[in-house]
Parts: sequence; structure tokens; C-alpha cells
Amino acid sequence: MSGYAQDNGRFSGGFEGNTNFFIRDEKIGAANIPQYDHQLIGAESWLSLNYSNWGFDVGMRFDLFNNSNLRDPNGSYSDQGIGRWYIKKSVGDLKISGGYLYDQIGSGIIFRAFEERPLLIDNALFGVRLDYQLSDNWSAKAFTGKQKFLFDRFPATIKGASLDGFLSFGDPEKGQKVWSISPGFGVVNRTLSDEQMADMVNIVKTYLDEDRFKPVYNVYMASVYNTLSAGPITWYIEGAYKTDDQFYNPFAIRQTLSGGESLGKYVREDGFVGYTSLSYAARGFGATLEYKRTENFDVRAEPQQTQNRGLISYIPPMNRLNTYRLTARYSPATQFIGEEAFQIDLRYSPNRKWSFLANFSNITNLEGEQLYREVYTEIMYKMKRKWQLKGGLQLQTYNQEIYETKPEVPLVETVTPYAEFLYKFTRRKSLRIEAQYMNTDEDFGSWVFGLAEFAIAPHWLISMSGMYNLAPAERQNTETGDIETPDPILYPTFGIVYSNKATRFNLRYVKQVEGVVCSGGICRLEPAFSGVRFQVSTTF
Amino acid sequence: MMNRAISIVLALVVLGLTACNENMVMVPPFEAPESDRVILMEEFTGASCPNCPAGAEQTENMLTLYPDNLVAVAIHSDFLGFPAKPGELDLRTEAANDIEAFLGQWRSKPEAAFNRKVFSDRGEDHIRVRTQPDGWINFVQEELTTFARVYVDIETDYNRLDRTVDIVVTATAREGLSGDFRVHVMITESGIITKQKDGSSIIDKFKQKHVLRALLTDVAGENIFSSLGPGLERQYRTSFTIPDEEDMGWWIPENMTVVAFISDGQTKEVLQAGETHIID
Repeated sequence: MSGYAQDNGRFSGGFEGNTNFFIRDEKIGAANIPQYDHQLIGAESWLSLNYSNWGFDVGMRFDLFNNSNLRDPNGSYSDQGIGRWYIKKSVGDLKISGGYLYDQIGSGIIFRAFEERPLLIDNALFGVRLDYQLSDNWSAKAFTGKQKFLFDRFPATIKGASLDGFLSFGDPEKGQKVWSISPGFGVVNRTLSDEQMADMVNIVKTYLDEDRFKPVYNVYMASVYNTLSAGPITWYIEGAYKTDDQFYNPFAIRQTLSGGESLGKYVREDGFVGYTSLSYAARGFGATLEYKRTENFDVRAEPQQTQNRGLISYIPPMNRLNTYRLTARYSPATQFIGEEAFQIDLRYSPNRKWSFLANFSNITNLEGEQLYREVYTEIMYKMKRKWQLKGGLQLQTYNQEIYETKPEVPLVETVTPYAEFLYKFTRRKSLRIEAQYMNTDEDFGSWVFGLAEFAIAPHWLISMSGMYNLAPAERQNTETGDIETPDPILYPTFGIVYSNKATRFNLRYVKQVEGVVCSGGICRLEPAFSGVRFQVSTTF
Repeated sequence: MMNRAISIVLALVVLGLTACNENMVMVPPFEAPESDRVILMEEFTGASCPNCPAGAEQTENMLTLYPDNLVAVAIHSDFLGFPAKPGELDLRTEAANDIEAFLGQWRSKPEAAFNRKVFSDRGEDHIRVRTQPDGWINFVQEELTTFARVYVDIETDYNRLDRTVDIVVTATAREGLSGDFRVHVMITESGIITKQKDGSSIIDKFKQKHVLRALLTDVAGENIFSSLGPGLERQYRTSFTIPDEEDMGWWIPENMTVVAFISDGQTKEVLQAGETHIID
């Protein structure tokens, strides 16, 4: 990040702003929210300013939301204020931080305070943190505070501590192979407020005896993790446990006072997550094997919160993060109640011209029901610096019933070949073309997508793309309730980007089909969008 | 150095273990508080909403717990309100969509509104609360602790020959009131059998209850009084002719109720609600 220096002090900061101009299009389902009906324009922005001097780091961020659909894609949200401030000071080996803090322990399974602006997640911890450098290789930290929620905070308190180290073995001067470990250990505790407990008691006392439990104020989580690095091998392993705590299990059956049954109830159970990643990289070949098992690990600053709100833990996703429009159309959200998953990623580059990639991921619930499976292959050929061609095939199985709560729909099975061609006319001018075809009989049916992007470095990027519902599948009309095969719809996008040093302006006309949008491994179902998007970002 | 690190780890473990013992919270048997409040609960639902049966069950739970203090209305608006299978009865009404629009922003279904109040003390910023249906009870509990500023009484007279019901709503002030107070009158129906999406399946014969069938007043209500002294009353009269469609499985007078409530025209908050069957 760039910055200003004055009297030994240093300013730095950044701005990010989005403006959406909503253009109603009932044909694609972009309608019936206030923005399409009468608000017409929505905006959100973040302006941050940081200053460092006299051993202090201070910063603050102004957040603004005006008729924004970022918090809730089906609604409108307006508010503004100081979204973040912090002060940090180092005193010898001790570093003191206060304010709104971002941090995590291990891979984040027991604690992660983070921000994902595309989903309006800002789980900063409002509190204090002490970091102490015990030696060159060992550090410890402890923190306490409350989790941020928009411009407010959840009343539960969060406390945690961790110890992280680095140990290196072997002396190359003696001909010994060098290897190292980075062990760590962390604990986190969440304590509900009296008001939160009173609400939980109110809920539980309406349960029949067979569903009742005694709620607890405290949940404790502990995690042990280590990274082993030995030559071409890197092995990360983490095991996390949480004590029994109340959480909402949407799959549990509740007996109701009226004599019926309903799906979903609060339960009090302990939980576990095991995660490991083994990588090998040498001489153009790379392989990564990952495995994860999750049992009852839904830990929140307020148990009554739903979706992505109030999450204290972050469980890493176990599928490839795809970037092409159609290969990224179906993406599995992490399941907190039960999930078993593995992923294999293989890469091979025999020379500078050719490279190959193959990825396989498989996700089931703990009963073995298939949730997601993906086979992804890619071959790339580079012709010096003049052009490059990339292509491959993706096969997916996606459980729409689970990920999108759509009853009695079959597993979505897709076959998606894709290609990307990049041609450099000169050192400054280049053309990139994408083509994808998704074949499926389920959900919306088959799609074709094409994109052309012309770049004039370093300032301009002009693009146009179209996503066309080539063979729409028969489905229920959400207006009439009738089963019908809709007409094919074209979803075009035109965009122009201007960049000047750290500043970037992006103007796009967008028609976007409904789908799952994932950011940072967290996903949510987004409705269709129709309109113009203008984005500005800069750092200074 | 290793010794210091091990010491810190041990300290963390010991701290964690010693702090793990907390006094267990006792969950007392349920007792409904004594209250003369009658709360309006509007449940936003739909036949194609897979999570809504849990909301409907919770509504029934709460009606069992608070038989004299709660009036429920199921609002089947457009969002996920279309029939679960083609050819089924369509429970959506314009009135439901009007109410949804009138109450303002919402996120999903099932959601519920309690006395059309924004519970900002509970972190809510919309009239429709965002918690799981199991948590709805907390909003009822909170409202039951408040003072009933008005009593609402409903009288009905049903004529079987022309299927017309005459309705008289009487509002009685319990304290001096001045402002813009409005009366709202709705017709609801229970026992309508439709298919209903439920999680990953569809219930074949789901008994829909408290379905909003008609709104007899403007969505914002009709002014019933602007100033009323303690103990004084005002009446609002209206009538409704029930469509003759019993052979289709709905508009059955025996299954229908009249719901009426008084709201504050400035805040939309409901002061008191009432409900009575069209045929006793």
C-alpha cells in the first residue's frame, strides 16, 4: 500500500465504493424488492485511513450503505457511521491492540474475525488483544471482546488465546536435510449475556420433555495445529473440539405441543472438526491432498442468528474455487452440522509451454449422502509471449435440495467444457476470449457463455459477455405455479474498466441469473440482478 | 524457550479446565404470564416455502401456550407463495402482498411480525423479525409485559342465506389516547388442504391455518378515533359476503374467523387485537 510520510509519520488508506442502478426485469426475476420498485439506486462505500507514528498505528474506516442490497439481496439496507477504528502500540516484545480487530487462530476453525465485503460479513472483534513475542520462534496472544454486527455488537463476550511456534531442524552445513514444524495451540470461550440466556430459556421451556435441554452460557473451543515442511512436502493438520453448546440443527425433528412434528430445533451437543492438507511440489509437479470432517460445529455469538450472521468459527471450504462464469455457477457452501470431504489437486508443467491440472473434490454428509462432487481438468499451452490457450472439462454433481433448500429436485449433474484464448497484439494490446458450455437437464437447463475482453495496458479494459440459457429445463413458474419450459433468455454484460496507478473505475451493464455467490469460502443464494454497476477503488 | 512455551500451554489448559464449570441453568416449566394483552402475530409464509412448515408448527405451539393472548394470521404473499404443485389452491392474495409492502423490508420466509413493532432493543431493525421460529416466543413474552391501552371486542352476525357476515368492532380506551388510531379488519380461514413444500419433500395434505383470505379495511387501516378518554368506546361496522366456493375446499364459514386490531397510524404498532369465529 502506498502512503504519505510527514514528520516521520505515515498516512495510508483506501476507498472502495459500489453503486447499483436497478433496472427492473421481471422476465429474469429482477423485481419485487424496493430497489427495483422505487428506490432505483443503491450504494455502499468504505473509506479507511491509517496513520503510523511514534510507535503507534491508528486507523478508522467510514462505512456507508444507502438502499444497499448487499446485506440482504431481497431487501434494502441504509445506515452509515464509523465501521472500524483501532489503536496498536508495541512496547518492547509486547504489542497492544484495541478497537475493531481482525484475527484468527490456526485456519480459523475455532476463531476467525474477518471481513468479506461482497457478502457484507464483518465479524471484527471489538476488544483488546495482547501479542507477546516470547522469542524469535515463539509468540503468544490473548484477546477478549465482542463480535461486531453492522454498526452494533452482539452482547456475548469472546475470549481466546493462542501460542504459535516455529522450530527448524537439520544443519545444511553438515549435510543434513532441513525440516521445520510450526506448531500451534489455541483456546476460545464464548459467554452468552443474561439477556441471550433468558431468550434461550424461553425457547427451551416451550419444548416437550424429549426435546428439552439445559442451555449453557459458555462454550469452549480448543484447537491443535501444525505445519510440517520438509523439502518438497508441506503437511498441515488441525483438530478442533468444542464443548457441548446449544445451536440450531435444521435437520433435527422436534415434537410440538400441538401433537405434530417440525423439522429443526435447538440442540446442545459437542462438536469436532478435523482438517488436513498434504502438499508436494517439485520440478514442475505439484500435488495437494485435503481432507475435512465436520460434526456439529455451528458456533455463533448468538445462537439464534442464522445464515452467515454471528459465526465465530470459520470452516474452510473443500472444493476448488472456480473463476469462470459457468464452472463457478454451482458452488457448495460449508455445512456446519455434518460434512465429510476430500480434495485432490494435481499440477504438472513439463516445460514452459505446457501445463496440466486435474482436481477432484467430493463432499458428503455424515450419513454418506452425496452433497457435491467435481472433476476439473485443465490444459494450457503458451506460445512464447504471443498467445496462450487454455481449455478443459468440468463434471459436477450438486445437491440443490441441501444447498438451496429446493425440495424434490434431483441432483444437478453438469458437464462443462471451457476454453480461454489470450492473444497479445503488442506489449500493450491484448485480446482474451472465453467460451464455456454447461450441459445439464436440471435446474435452469443448459447454458452457453462467451466473453471477449480487449485490454490496452495499463489503463483500459473493455469487455462484453453473454450467458444464454440454450436449452431451458422445465420448471415451476414462480408467478403462476404452473410447470412450463420458459423461453431462452440472454444475460448480457458490457463493461469498461479504467485504471490509473492504484485507482480503478469499473462501469458495467449487467444482467445476472440467480445463483449461489461465494466469497472467501462462504456462500449465499443471490437473486437475479438487472442494472448498471459502477465501482471505484483506490489506495493511497 | 520450550519450557516457557510448554508452561503457557499448560496454563491455558488449566485456565480452560478450571473455568469450564458453570452453574447449570434450570429450565422452569412453562407458565404463561397473566396479561390482558392480545397480540397480533402475522406469519409470512407460503406453500412453496420449504422452511415454512416449521414456522406454522411454531405458530400452533404458541397458540397452545397463549390461547387467550395471541391472534395469528398467515400471510401468503407472492414470495414462495405459489402453489407447491400446479393445479393446487392458490392461497396468495393481493391483500397479503399489500400488507407485505406496507410493513416494509423483509429478508426471507418464514418470518413473523408481532404487533407490527420494531424490536430495536433486540437488535431488530425491521418489523418482520429475523430469528428462527423457535425464537418467536421471546417477542410474545416481551409484548405480554406491556400495558393494554385498548380493549378490542368483535361481534359477528352471519346470515346463512346470503353468506354475509356483519361485523362490529368495539375499541375501548383504558387510558386517555390522542393521535391517529386505526382499525383493521381481516378474514382468516383454517383447514384449507393443500400440498406444502417441507425441507426436501412435499407434504401431500397440509392443513393450512389462519390463512388471510380478505382485508376489509385499507391496508393502513381506517381512522376509528383521534382522541378517546379512559373507559370510552368507539365502534366500527363492516360486512363481508363469503364467496360460494365450498366445493373447492375453501371459503367455509365454519372454519373462518374475523380478526380485528387497533393500530397507531404514526408508528404502525398494534395496540390490541381480537379474534372471533364467524360461526360459534
